Amino acid sequence: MEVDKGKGEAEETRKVAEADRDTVTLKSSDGKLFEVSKEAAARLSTVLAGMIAGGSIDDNGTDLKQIGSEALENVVDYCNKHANSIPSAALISSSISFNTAPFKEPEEWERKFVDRLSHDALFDLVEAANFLGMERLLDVTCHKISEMMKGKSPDQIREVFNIKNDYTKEELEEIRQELAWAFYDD
Amino acid sequence: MADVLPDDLLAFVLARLSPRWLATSRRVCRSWRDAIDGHRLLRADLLPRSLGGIFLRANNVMFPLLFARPSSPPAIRGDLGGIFRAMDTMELDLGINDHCNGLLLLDDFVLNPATGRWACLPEPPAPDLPEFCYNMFLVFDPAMALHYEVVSIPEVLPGCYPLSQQLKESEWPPSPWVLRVFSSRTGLWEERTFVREGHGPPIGTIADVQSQYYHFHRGRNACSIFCRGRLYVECQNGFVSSDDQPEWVLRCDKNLRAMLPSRRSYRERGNGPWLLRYLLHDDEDGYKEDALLQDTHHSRLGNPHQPAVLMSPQRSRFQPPTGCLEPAALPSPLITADWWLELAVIRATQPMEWSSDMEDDPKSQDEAGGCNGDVDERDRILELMGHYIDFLGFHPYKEVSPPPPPPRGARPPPTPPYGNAGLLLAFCRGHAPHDVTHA
Repeated sequence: MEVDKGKGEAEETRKVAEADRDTVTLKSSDGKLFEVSKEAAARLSTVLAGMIAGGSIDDNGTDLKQIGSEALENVVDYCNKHANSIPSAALISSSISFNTAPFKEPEEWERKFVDRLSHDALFDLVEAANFLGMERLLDVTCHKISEMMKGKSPDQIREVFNIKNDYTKEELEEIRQELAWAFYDD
Repeated sequence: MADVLPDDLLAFVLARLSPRWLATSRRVCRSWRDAIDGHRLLRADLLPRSLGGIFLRANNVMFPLLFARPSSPPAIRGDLGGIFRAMDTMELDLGINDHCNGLLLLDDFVLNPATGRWACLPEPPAPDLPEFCYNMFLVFDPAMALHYEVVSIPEVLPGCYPLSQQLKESEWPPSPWVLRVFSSRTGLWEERTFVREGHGPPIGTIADVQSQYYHFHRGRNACSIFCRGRLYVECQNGFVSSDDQPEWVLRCDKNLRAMLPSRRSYRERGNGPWLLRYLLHDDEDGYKEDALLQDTHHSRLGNPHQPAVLMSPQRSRFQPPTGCLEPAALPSPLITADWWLELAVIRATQPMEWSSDMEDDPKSQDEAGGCNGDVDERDRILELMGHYIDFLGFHPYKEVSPPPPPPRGARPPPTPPYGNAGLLLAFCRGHAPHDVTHA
């Protein structure tokens, strides 16, 4: 692609100016602007790291059309909190041979962070984390949702997540029989 | 939520659930079932839900032998001898203290014979009550979590071991009761406190236990059962149960005694010969089958030229004489997990018919070697076992493989999670049920 030399130089200058800044500005689908530490954004999000490295960060607010302002606010909040948190001691790297890859439990502040969210906000945050390639945040949010499923009967799960039962009675019985070992008495 | 989260993210969430909760989630709605099945999150086929074999220890072989159904190659080698040589351990007393869903608890380590992997237990902390002896029990349910726990439970020794008056007058089991539990999740021994359910009256004192002491048989295979998230341990005084609620619970329930199978000393039932019979219990089918079991790595038990074979009475058309199979030795349906296994030893009091009934599987017949109708060989094996027999059922468990990653996700879902297995303990008195009158 032909690039006008003068424009290219201007672009270069702008990029240098951008590189000097400590923060990046993100713009939600509804046009709200959020500032987040560049270091944290690059460390926690593979997508933002790529954009920063590739110089496609817009000083006036990088458009994230897939993410609403509430979810983006939570993303930014998470990044800032993460930047401030002291990493806890490494999880026990157990020598116990039956363990599979260690799953990192959320830390206390991360639990609190997701506990205060409404269901809708939590689901939006899962999608935002997935979109931005934020592995840790995705882990924390998915963990929270899975915790809401554990120990519940199918009816209770449907109630919690507001899901319609689309099985027939016969299908339900059949699907129950398939894995009857798993059900104690519900 | 199915509408809220795309399929691959839903799968990413569900992948954190243990098999039991995945099975529940399949019943929620079609899209959840499709997400679970589409990503192969639930590998129920890998769970130890059928009998893999029986470990048997006889007095003329150094390592316990695994007897399993004939298959080629063997599903599990169960070659403890090979495993121990590889461990380069000087350990020679290879008693299996407990077992649970495919794991074996030996003196100070836990072993998975299906994979040959093992882990040493750290030294347990000094006991609170050094006057007692401590027994270890293994808790492992891969349908709930890939972590195991080892519970250390004190046992009151007989009256010849002097105790202080104060200790003698203490109630037993105490409430609250602090027990040591090793968790493979943390790699540490932890303390867990049990409280008597409903804060009811004590069952008795330590002196009571001592006065009624008799040395009930624990054997190598202690009287413990872990099923449906609960560990039942035969104990000296009353029943204790607990779960993973914030306050652990100690429950007294004389009915629990009836739920436990009797495991009296096999020696008490007279000398051999013995027939080993296993009963695979199943909620639907009752006692499902007996089967021929064959030494998986062809160790020689008696005859250097023939692999040892244990044959079930049923397959060999042997009908035990009436009264031979003690009803007390059979598990009550109340206690049966779906993969609950009970072993029963039948004393052969009459001449047995050993003609093989294996027409459906000619290969097995060949592998059964000289045992088919070979009375001399059979007698010799049985005679050997009569001298010393110690066995336990074994469910192989090879870890659930991580499912393939969701198509759009940047990473594979985590392997099944590490939730609490919902531990619940129940101890029971080693005496007859009517002894538990305070319950």
